[in-house]
Amino acid sequence: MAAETKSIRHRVPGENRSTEDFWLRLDNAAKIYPAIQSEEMTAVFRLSVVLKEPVKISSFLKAVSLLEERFPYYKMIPRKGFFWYYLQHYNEKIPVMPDAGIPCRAFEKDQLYFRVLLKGSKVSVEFSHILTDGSGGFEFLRSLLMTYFEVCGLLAQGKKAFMRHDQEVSPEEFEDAFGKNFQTDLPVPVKVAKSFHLPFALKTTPRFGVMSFLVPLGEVITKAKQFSVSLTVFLVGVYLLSLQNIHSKLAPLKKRHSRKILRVQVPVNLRKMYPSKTMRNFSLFVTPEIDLRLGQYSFEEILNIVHHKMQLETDRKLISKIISRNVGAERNILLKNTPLFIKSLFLFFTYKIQGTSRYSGVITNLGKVSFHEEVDKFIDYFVFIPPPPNKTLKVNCGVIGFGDNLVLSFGNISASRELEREFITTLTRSGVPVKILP
Amino acid sequence: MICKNCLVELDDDMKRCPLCGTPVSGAGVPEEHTDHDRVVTPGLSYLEDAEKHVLQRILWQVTATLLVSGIVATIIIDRARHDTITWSLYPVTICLMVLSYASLFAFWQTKAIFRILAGWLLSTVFLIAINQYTAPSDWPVGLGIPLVFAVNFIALALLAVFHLTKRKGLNLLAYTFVAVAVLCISINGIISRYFTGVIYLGWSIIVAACILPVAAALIFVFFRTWNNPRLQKIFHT
Repeated sequence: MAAETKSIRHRVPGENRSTEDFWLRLDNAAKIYPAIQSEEMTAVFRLSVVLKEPVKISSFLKAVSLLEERFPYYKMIPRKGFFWYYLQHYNEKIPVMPDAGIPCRAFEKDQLYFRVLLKGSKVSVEFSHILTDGSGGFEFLRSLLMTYFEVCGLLAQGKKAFMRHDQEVSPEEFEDAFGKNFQTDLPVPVKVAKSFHLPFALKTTPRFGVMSFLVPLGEVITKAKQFSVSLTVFLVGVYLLSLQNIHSKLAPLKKRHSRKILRVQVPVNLRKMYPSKTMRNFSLFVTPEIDLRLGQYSFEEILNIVHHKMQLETDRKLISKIISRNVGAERNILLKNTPLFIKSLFLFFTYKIQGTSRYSGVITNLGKVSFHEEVDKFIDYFVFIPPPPNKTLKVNCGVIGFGDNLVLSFGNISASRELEREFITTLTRSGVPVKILP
Repeated sequence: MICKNCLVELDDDMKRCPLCGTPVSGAGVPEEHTDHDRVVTPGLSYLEDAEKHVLQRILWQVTATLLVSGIVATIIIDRARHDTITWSLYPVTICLMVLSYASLFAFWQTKAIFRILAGWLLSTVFLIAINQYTAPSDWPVGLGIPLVFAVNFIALALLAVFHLTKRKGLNLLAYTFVAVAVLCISINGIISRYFTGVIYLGWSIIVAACILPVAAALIFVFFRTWNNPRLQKIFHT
């Protein structure tokens, strides 16, 4: 590991010396973001929690200050090296600011790459994907909330189900789990064909807009169980069905020339498959698909395909193959010794040309979250807003459940809300009530 | 009490919202919250100094062993072949000069400038003494002393530049390269002047032409990465 510190907690708190000492290599998933991020495609995601009461600001600020030194690996800013970007520790206070309502804004240069936002009873954290993924960000939010509840006197001392402010920082928390679980000499995964993309025009800048919908979790799970599939499979099925409906509504000539493979990217949290405590990026994708060249699919057929495809692709050996390809590319002797400016150009154009050409959409389900019975009663619901999609994908979706509330958030940079409309109509037609969140 | 702007709950005694700064109606005094304590790591410079001295002595032992072995071997071979000291005088002189520098740097705990000056003096004395021991000729004045002068002068200049440089990183390597280029030119000039009577620069220009672009590239990288002078971070692959 790069910044090999046995106990970060005892070194990082110093001022300039520790700031110079503590640095990290970017993890495998983060390596592409510095090359492709922009004002519009920020690579920033947001996790929000809506409480039942307004936030008590003095207790909240105290909770934040208690956590100042608990997550040193998030107090980093990306810097240019000669061959790679790296993360440099930046001993600034955790930025807490009023929520101006514009989600997932880009971070300024020389600013920490995460922020905490507040408005009324809503607490949000925004992270750049350079630092972590949704699971890492959620652990931070959990820790912040639990500390807040503890400061408010709502949680008995000594609950250990979260990362406590007085706990030692373990080096495992900032390890590059991809590198740790990398196996050499594995065969390369099969290349897949390019897929269909939403034909919508882009909005004028700033493009990114979000619509969130609240649905009763119990009812969606009941619907999923009727088809004997999981919640994630059910939602991916609805997403693919919505894409199929959009494809079928295309003008005949456009339909004829458009690609016929509908493929959805579904992030998988690898911490569930590999023993890792990392708080940095550690997720990969599975890609269920339907091929419209073979004809139209019923909802049941789609669910059946998605179910089996996800079962198949979440096999640990197959995941190892993908990790091996990704990390292997990073360790390629030619690539790793290429100066950064050439590498960045290469990554930028590769992403521009290929990037998401093989996916029609992304749906990220963080699953049903729960804190502790003592504090769950103070929480209304959670919202997860994925990073702004690129110009090829145009729309993506983030899902998170809490109690009986499931929140679906659609990030969209196009001028059309057709996908959202299709998705929600499919749910309401199946008898699931949907409420639009403000 | 609720903030009108960000809707968070304020304490009763707050005059303004600590989050957005909006004053509570009827209050005008800003409230400031204090920094929380930060732990400062104590300096460890005395331990680092002791470690440095131990390392210097070990380096001197290794250097001295190698040089003395070289001197003995050279003299034995020379004497075995010619029954007297002939060509071995020059490598022995160079080895003794290097040994004097190594000893001064290992054992004399003073400023580097004084150690270099002392080394310079010792080297010059060596050259003159050896010239006196053998058949006196003009090579110490024409070749030896000017070369020693060039090496020491450039080393001192480089040391001064290092000392004056506030931000140290790749720039020091670049300055060293420039010094090497200047030294090569000086050596080339001194040698050609001694043997031909005129200063003729040949090979040293080629060396300088190769080294100076590298130095320029290092300076460029240094200023490009002004905020991060640590090489391990910048050059990790």
